[in-house]
Amino acid sequence: MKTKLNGILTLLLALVVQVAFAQQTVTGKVIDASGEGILGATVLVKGTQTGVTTDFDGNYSITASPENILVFSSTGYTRVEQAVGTQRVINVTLSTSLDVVVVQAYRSSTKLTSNIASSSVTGEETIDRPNANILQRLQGKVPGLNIQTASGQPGADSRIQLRGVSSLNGNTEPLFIVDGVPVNEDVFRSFNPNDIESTTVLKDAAGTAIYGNRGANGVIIIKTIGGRFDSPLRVSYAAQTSFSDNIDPDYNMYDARGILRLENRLATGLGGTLTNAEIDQFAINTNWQDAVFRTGINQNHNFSLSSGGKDVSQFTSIGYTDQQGTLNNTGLQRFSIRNNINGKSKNEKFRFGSNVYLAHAVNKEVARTDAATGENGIYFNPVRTAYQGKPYLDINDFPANGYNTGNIDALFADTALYPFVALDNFRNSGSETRDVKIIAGANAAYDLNDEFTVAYEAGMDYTQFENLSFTRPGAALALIRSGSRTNEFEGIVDESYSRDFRFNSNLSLRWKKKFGQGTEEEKKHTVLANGYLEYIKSHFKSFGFRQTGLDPRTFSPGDGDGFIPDIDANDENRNTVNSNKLTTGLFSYFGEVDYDYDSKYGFSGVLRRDNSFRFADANKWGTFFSVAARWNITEEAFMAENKTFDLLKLRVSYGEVGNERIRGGFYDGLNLNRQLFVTGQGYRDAPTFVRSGTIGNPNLSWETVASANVGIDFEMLDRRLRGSLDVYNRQTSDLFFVQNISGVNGTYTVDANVGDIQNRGIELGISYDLLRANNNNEVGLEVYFNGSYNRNKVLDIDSADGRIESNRQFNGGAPATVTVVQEGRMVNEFFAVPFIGINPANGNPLYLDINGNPTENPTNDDRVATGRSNNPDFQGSFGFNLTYKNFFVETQFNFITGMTVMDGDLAETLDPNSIDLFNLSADLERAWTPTNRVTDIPSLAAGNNTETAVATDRFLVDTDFLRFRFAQIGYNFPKSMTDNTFISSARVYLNAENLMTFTKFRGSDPETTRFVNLARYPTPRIIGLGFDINF
Amino acid sequence: MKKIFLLLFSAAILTACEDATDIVQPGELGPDRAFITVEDLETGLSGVYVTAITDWEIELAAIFTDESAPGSSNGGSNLALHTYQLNPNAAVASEMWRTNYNLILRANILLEAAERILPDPAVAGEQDTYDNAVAQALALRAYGHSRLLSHYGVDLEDPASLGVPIIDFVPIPLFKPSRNTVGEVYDFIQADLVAAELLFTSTGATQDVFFISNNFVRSLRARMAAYTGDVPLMISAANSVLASYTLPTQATAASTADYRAMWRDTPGAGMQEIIFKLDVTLNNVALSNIWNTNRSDATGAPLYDMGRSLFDIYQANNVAFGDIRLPIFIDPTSTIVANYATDPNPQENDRLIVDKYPGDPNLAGLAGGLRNDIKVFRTVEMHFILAEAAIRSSDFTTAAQQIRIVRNARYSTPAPLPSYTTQTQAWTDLLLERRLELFAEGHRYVDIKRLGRKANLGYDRDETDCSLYAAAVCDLPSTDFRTQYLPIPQNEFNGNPGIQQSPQY
Repeated sequence: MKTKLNGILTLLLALVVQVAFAQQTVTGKVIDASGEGILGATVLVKGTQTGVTTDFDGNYSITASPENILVFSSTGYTRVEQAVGTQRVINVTLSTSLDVVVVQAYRSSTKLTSNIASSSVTGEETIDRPNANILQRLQGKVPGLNIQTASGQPGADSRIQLRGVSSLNGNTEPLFIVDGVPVNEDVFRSFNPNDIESTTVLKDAAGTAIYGNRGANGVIIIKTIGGRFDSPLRVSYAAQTSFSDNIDPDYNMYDARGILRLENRLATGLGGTLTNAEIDQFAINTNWQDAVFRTGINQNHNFSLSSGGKDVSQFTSIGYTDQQGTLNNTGLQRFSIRNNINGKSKNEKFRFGSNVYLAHAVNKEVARTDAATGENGIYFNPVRTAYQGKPYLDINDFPANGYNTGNIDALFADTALYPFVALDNFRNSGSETRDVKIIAGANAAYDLNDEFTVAYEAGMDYTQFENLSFTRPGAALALIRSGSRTNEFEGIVDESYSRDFRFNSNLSLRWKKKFGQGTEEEKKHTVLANGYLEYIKSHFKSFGFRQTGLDPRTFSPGDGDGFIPDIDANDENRNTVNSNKLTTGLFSYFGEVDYDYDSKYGFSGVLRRDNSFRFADANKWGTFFSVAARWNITEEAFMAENKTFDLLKLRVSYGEVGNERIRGGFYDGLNLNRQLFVTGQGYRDAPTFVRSGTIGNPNLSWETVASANVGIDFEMLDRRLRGSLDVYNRQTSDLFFVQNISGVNGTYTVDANVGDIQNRGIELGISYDLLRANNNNEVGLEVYFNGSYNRNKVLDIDSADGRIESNRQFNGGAPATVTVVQEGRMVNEFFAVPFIGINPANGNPLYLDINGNPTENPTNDDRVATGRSNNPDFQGSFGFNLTYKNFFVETQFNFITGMTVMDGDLAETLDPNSIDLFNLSADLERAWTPTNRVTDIPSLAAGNNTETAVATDRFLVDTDFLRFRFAQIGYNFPKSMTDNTFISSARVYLNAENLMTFTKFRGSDPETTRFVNLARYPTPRIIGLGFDINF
Repeated sequence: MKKIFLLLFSAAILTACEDATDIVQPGELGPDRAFITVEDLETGLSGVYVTAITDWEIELAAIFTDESAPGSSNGGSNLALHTYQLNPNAAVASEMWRTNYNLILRANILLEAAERILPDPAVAGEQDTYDNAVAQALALRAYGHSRLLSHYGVDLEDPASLGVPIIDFVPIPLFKPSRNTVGEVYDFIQADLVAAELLFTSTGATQDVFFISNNFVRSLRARMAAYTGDVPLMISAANSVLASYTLPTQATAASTADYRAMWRDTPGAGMQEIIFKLDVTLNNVALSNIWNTNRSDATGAPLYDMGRSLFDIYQANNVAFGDIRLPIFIDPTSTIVANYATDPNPQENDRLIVDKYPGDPNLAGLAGGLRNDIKVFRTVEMHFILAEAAIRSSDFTTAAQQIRIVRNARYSTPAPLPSYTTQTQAWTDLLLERRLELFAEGHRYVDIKRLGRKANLGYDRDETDCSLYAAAVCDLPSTDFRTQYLPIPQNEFNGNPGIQQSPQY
């Protein structure tokens, strides 16, 4: 009744208004060809400043006079004009424009005239996800782009690889450009994902060659939201709360009584001292996972304003994120502000823009669980406690006031008590990084005349890290570290600051002209030529200290009041300092030409010269290029009658791009081309200088990636089916890799350009509108698939036996793991002796020797390349998007196959040598005994525990997985509910990440990118709830 | 106007270009500026010494032979090596090779630099400083080769058998050395030492326990002579060293305290027992970590205990003769079960905490408690070498007397003079006393390698110790190739595929 009354009142009001001003309220819906509402389309009264934007459903409401004309426009769609007349409801269908902007390196083109292989992800596809890192949100969205996150740390950096691993020691991550500014690819935790309008991935040489030495691994161009000219103020607020949980591994661990019985049988540990009856009555059964992990509570708020006048437009956003990690003491807090401004002169000859992003993030972590080569020391890594702490230890034995000089010895006397040290660490130690991030860019362009434009762009990426990690005085680890035990002051704090400033400047002169007969529109030849000059310089500065000796009375993390000075009588208290200063630079000139004939045929070429300081003078200059051609088949006369294809385009490209980052890191390997001497600590701590252990190699030169690409873009069946298919061949030559040398050099390796590898693959991105909703009451259903297959192969290695081994064992914890780079094989294949089972005669593990005979005593000569590596082959995602009435549903399943990991957790939980220390897997109940001869678990006293000396494949596990990566269900509030409120549109949603995972891998997270996975912090499952409101 | 703009523009580009492309990082020191003066040689020498500080020899002897057994906190630490899995991939083979060649490399860098530096005769003492530096570098180069030869050489008494590559120059990175014979390496070592001795004699370098002088040189000459069986050199070199050192003639309360202080690196008369030791600071290797996690007592999470069979001998000697080594080598917090063989949980209950490296009280904290100087040459070794020379000449009385000199220094009651009638008997007794006295000093592997077959002895682990780990073999006989030489590491093959592997690896 009330609603009805409201409706009547509205109608009355509208009539009154109409009578008074001869104006009327026009409502309607703007939809796309598939029937889905277009969000954010502009509806403008032509010739005025009056305008509105559409809501999530594409609905709008505007006041206009009958003589007005309404202009409907949205990026990527063809603009439509409609006279108002007497209409009160104007529904408009916008068709996808072939003039949709295709983002390219230093310019943009259109879908018809682009020659490059690229994929784009709109901001809408990545907004409102419960994950704090934009890169993780992109996972599975782009065919051929591998994004894997091996850590559950909120905002953690991911492994990003486009079209396979193209380098071994050199950089393998794509170049990231945010609004024209190249940025540090490893610190996206401080970037607000909600600011993003689109993310474009340039894949082939035609797209990346213009970036020369930085484009070898692809380029990811992130464009943030900008205001639009001539659009009214739009205010948006989005809020989200989510909960993250650790996903339990599945190692079938013993409970307290189980492990006690095993200990009892082997007469060791606590179980060895108890009778069977006592074990049956044993009441304590501690779940150490609960003591180490928790449910993380996360919050996310975003507030943004966008508006545009005739000459200036702006976008401003403020974001706040607080994510708790599932591991105690971990989390990410981020506050960010963005301001983007665009402007133009009245005659539009001069255009300018600026983008400024400021963020502050606080990242709390448990240092030793996270790094790729993180430690496994049981006293430092709490994940080991979670998985392998003895369940018969009573958590209540942890002293309420922690440890002191009186009870500390008892703690360390029995190593199996290490879980209490983990608890103490949570209380008494911490590690955090505070990031300040500034990404700022400015650009301007001026049209000298109709043909020439001069453009300039400059930007900076500034990252400041403030690291703090501490062990309080009185912490168990501090007490034990003080040899005297009486020193209550032992305690360590490390602090460091670093500043990373990267500047880029790019000046270009651009020329574009049409040739041919007739008017400007009729001319069929379009030629474009651009010349660029680029200057890049980066400065890194860091300093830090470590103070040992803290006064518990005055110590506070990050503050120096509690520092105890170093005195002669006591060397326990001391401080050490460090400082570092590094510079990199790059100077390049490059040009591109592009020719188009009537939108049918196109050719383009790029040539770039780079000068790198990393190589000796003779090898300094690198020349890179690409050539590309396209044929728009659907533009041909013979296709005019064809109704199946709306667009069919064939692309071919070839090019060579370089890589100068010898050791991968941006500031790594800066002077490897020359032998250096370094200051060292000599005998009896005397200062000395020695020849650096890093052997200089003057022959170091560019690593080159040559890639060929053939692709098809298609839209067919009234654009219901859209997609693209690409095949490529990428060949890296003069690889940055270690060359083995004799140990008489004091080291076994030297950095060199060693060998060739190849990546070949195919990529398909396809989506299909199964059901098109022509109105709100129909179901709209789109299904999609992104997939790629990549195969890499080592073609040539400069080694006598065509093979270079890398030992992947770390900390001596996990069994030996060796990977090889071997000619004719995949990169980094595991190199191991095949495990074939258990010898029924004696319970010893059996392996295959090199001649194919079973052996109990394998040697290094029996190892073979296993054909397994941690590089994915098939990977991608699929899912559907559904709309019905005001509801919408999104799903995304991700899959990866072809990956293998050395499951260190499995090896550790099945290691009978650890029975004194760790909880073990109840799979050991299946161990060989004289009465249980046919089994997969060796005898507990098996004679050869060879997996610790010779690499075997016993614990190599495939981590192929299918993961329900993302699901979202939401509701758009109908116009009727938001009318007459200050809200123009609103929606609520519930979403989830990593809801389900299907895999053979028994650990928590099959997404791991490591060679050996042992006690790592796994990625969580996140469930979120949020709403978006526009005013 | 346009031209001026163009000019400015190109000027900006050119300067910008160099600024971004000719980048040298701050603090770079190239080889051309590294060694200029004689002082630089002295400073650089410290960087050669420091690479000599490694514990791989000691770790190999401790873990691989019969010196130790898994301790109560051992969760698999070093078990591969302890269960005789010695192959080209073993870290000990790879790192002992690399670290010793690193020592040799640094010595060679210094020696090559010295060739370009001319000491100024006008500056007082500069020639001596120069000669001392060169002599020390030569001795360190010889020491590096001696450690390699004694561990990787196939048969030290067969000059034609496979030795190790001799490196007497700074190699270019792609240099691929091949193995010299044992005889060639031995001659090279002795030649370096003779050259060093001449220089030290000319400069009149004084003895310093932490720095190389003639006593180090002669001790090394004696040791290498003993390893290869050069009897006259053994006798002359050992005697020339022993001219400056004497052992206690009987263990007394005072000499016991001195002996204990010697292991703790505190001053006293115990210094008479040390010819040369490498000074270990907080920045160097922690010897005690081979056996203990945090400290050398029962609360220090022991990884390896003293082997029970070895302990039983000390115990028996202690009862019979008041052998003072038992309470010094074993920490007082040790718990010793009476019936080890029948104990239900021997690893947990029987804790023989190795305390030969009890920590240097002058070094701070937990780290200090795990660190002691590395005793490279001790007086007792010279007596053992004299005994060895005598046995080789079947002079059993002299041999017995020399062994008794060592025993008397450790026994509270006078030791009886052993009597031998065969060489085998004498070798057995020498091996026994070397095992007891040189425990945990990195000798046992080379001793069994050299003398095991002469005495028909291999490793002698306690049966119960062997039950603490999963492996079929308890005692390795000295006929097993693994007791004879280390494998050339896989890492060396990767960069130097032509090098010859020792038999059976």
